[in-house]
Amino acid sequence: MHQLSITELAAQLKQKKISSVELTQIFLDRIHKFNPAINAFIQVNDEAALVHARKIDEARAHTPEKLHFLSGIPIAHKDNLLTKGIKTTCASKALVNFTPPYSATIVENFNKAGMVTLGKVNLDEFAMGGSNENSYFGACFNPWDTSRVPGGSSGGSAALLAARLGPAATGSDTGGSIRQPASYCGVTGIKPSYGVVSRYGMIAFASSLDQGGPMAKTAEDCAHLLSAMASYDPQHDMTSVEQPCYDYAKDLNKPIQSLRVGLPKEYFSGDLDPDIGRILDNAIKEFTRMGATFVEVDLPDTQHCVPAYYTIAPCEASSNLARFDANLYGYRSSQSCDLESMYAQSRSESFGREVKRRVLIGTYALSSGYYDDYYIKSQNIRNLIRHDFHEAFKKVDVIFAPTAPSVAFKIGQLLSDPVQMYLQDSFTIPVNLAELPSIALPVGQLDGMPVGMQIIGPRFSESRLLNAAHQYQKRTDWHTKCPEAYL
Amino acid sequence: MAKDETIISQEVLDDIAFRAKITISPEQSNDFRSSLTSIVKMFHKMSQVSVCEFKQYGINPTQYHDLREDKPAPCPSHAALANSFAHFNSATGYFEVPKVIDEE
Repeated sequence: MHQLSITELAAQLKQKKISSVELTQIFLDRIHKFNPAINAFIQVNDEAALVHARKIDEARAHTPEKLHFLSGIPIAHKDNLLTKGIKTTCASKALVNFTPPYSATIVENFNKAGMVTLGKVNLDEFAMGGSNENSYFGACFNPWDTSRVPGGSSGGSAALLAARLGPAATGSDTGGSIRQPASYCGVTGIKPSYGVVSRYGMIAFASSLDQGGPMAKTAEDCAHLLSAMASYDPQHDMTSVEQPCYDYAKDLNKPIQSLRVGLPKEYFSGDLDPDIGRILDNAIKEFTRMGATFVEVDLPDTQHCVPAYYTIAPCEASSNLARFDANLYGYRSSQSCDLESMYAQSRSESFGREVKRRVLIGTYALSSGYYDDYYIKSQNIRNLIRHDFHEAFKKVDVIFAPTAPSVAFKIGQLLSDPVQMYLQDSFTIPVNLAELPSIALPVGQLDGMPVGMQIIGPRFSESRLLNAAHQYQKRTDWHTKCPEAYL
Repeated sequence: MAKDETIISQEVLDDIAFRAKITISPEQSNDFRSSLTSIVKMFHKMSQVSVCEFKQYGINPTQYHDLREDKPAPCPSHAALANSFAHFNSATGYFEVPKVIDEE
């Protein structure tokens, strides 16, 4: 049962071959058995999950026609999404004891659809990191090889899916935090266009870049999840975009013979491991067999994305994290003697090393004397990146790109060199800067570790990306691979 | 702050930490000075990029001269924040969020 996709599980529930309580119990049992090895879950919601599942089963018995397609399917939420009455920590000591009085819109939407919350999952503290090593609750480990990282910041979400501890998870993507862990763990995840999913109740890291998105085993599952997750939320999020509710699953089976695909040469040279390049070539050949045509495109400012992103994101983070001042909620140090020391001591004792580093660098870049040279310059470069993609999408429908320059790296390998760690994000960051959608899907394996590819589209082309990924997954089986220990 | 520096000195680090309201221990200082210096060197690569003539997309960021003066202001008094103490549990070191009142 744990190997089935959401689509298959929904059919089983609808035909009453299994109840939601039974399904939830299967995943809870797996979590208790396997989570100690990978540390994907920070908190498990046994009792509340079973109570909710029972209500869904009762509703199915009496008014099945009123149930949503996803009703009764379990889901795990990244712990930067507020969940009313359930602790939300953002993997930080600052919020260890924080129980929010309201839920994020994303969580509300899934609750309304009748999805059952299994628990909250691990991430890099405040979603700052690409390895899930920066968590107050300890690192999360890659189920394919527990000496390696699962990626980040949505490492817990990707790891639990790879280990089949749940069929669905939420993630958030500020610079690749859905796509990179999806690639490292061999699962599928989509980062929607900025504004498709409400950010209300998602603890802010870099507000102009943050975007929630679904993660699952297949593109088809992601389509169902995104349909429930996306909503216009004008009362809560001014960056949420007004658009009608859309069923992303309805376009999955459209033929892709006329798909024009761009291959940016800047992504297929330099830092990319040649073995990964060969695996991507195989995926390209598969799409060619399906009728897609490929042309080279230029994204000439790609090399400037990492410095621009690592200016903008820490600037926004230093501002967003100013709210953790030990005055209204969260942690307060007992070592302070006056207000100034209360701020500084509380923040110093509760933030981890990477969070402090980003707050410091953001404060530096926003200070007088550096603001124009760093912050304004990076915003102008952001406009160049947007312009590059705008020009490329005049010629092609989608762009294929690697998700990461290598397979998942070893735990601790890059911890002492933050710049090297940041460079791992070089293929994912441009999409966030340009506010575009991108789906990451598994397309092969290298030395037993999954390799992912991303399909990038123009703004609001999620349906096209899901369609292309689904067509590929109908002809290949990389998305069905599961680490042997978790079969 | 001194301009055109790619090396983060102890003095600069202390100034940033003060503005960011973060205390840095002597053991952490070397790590932060070294890593922030590498990051600032990376920032400087942006100086080679020409951004003069291209069509504007999306946002136009606020220029520095539009902003208020960048000088740290004195903190308010401790007493002014006394109201927030009501939810603070000194035994745990954490605030306790008031119980949720359901709308129904």
